[in-house]
Amino acid sequence: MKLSTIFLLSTIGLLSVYASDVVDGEVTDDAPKAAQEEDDLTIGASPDAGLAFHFVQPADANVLHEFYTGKPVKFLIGFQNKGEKDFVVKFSETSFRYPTDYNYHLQNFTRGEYNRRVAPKEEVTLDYGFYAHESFAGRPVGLVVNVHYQDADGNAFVNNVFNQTVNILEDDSGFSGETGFLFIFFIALSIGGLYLANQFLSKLSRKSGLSKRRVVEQGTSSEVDFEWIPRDAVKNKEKKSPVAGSPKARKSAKKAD
Amino acid sequence: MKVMLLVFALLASVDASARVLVGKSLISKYPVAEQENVFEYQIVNIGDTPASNVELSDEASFPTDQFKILSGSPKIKFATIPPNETVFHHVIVIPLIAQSVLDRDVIVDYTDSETGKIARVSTNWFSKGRFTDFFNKSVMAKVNRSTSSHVLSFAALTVPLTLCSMIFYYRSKSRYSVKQHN
Repeated sequence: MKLSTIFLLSTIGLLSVYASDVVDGEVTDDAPKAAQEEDDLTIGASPDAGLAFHFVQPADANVLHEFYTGKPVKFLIGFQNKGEKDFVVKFSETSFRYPTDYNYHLQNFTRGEYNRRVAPKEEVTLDYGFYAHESFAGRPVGLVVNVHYQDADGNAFVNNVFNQTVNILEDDSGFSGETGFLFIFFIALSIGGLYLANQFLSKLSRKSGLSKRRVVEQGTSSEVDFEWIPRDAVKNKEKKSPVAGSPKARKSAKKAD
Repeated sequence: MKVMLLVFALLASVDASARVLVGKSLISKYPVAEQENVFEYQIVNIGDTPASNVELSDEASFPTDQFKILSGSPKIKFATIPPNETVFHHVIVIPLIAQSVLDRDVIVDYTDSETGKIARVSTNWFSKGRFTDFFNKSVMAKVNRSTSSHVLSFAALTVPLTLCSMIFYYRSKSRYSVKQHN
């Protein structure tokens, strides 16, 4: 191709690339506006409410942030009304979030419905408990606990009382059926293996035994040695030798005796 | 320098306080009437200073005409709870009648080492409504079926089969086994 055509094509290509960049710029310009609109709609905490959070059930959970699967996790939420009007604590929502992106819910737990009226200067403790399913074992998850309440005027508030990444560990303490039956299976396998080994070894010894017997055995000889049989038995046998043939023949042979 | 320290001390004392949270839960598997039910109270001091004269009062939950308290008292006083400490208190009761019992608030009064008295209440057992149903003992017997019936049914299935196999084996052995000549 001619140099001039290459030049023309390359300039057109570059222009098209820059044109798309301009379009991208337009898209990004819209994003800050959308965020501003969202801020006006968010609900936050009320300054008249003092909330506290404390784990009760895994005793060291307040320090360690580690839970075991299948074991209950219980915590207490303290709600203190520092204002002059009634508050109604509606519910608490607990959820597991993806540790690197807290907007992605892994699991939402059942709401703890309280609907508890708190008078001014009154303090109330609410509790909640949940189990971590064994499918979460060995994973870090973000645990988020929000408390929803409203004041006497009907304004809704949300207060986040726990918002951290916790480690879910597998519970190895209990006797699990799997390991028990695996243990029994290995015992059975070993017994079977011992039995087979015993058979194999006895077969080997039997082979050598046969060869010994071959040495001893002379094979069937036509002459039968009756020396060790008492005379009476031999005579009886000669007498009572069964006649070959049908039962009728045998009967006639007997009658003949 | 001294003024600065004084200011800091003042600020620190304003922040430091005792705050007590209280929770109540049923430790027994099911609430059953005419049986022992174990309730656990968790009293936690999450503040920085000790809480003294901590008084737990929950007699309203166990009226004496409906409950017989075996051990532990619903009304108990703890002298002091150090900061960041939990006190577990157990009460064992026997409900006399199988009925629904209204859940009452558990009240804990405590005194901060520096400031005055604060009363605390707690709700029992989230989202379980306002009543605790104590089940009938005979109904629970069906739920927790006794292990002896399990063993009997297992024996009824396995013993005849095992006995038959044993009988067949010994019969055939006694009749048809070839006696080895040495």
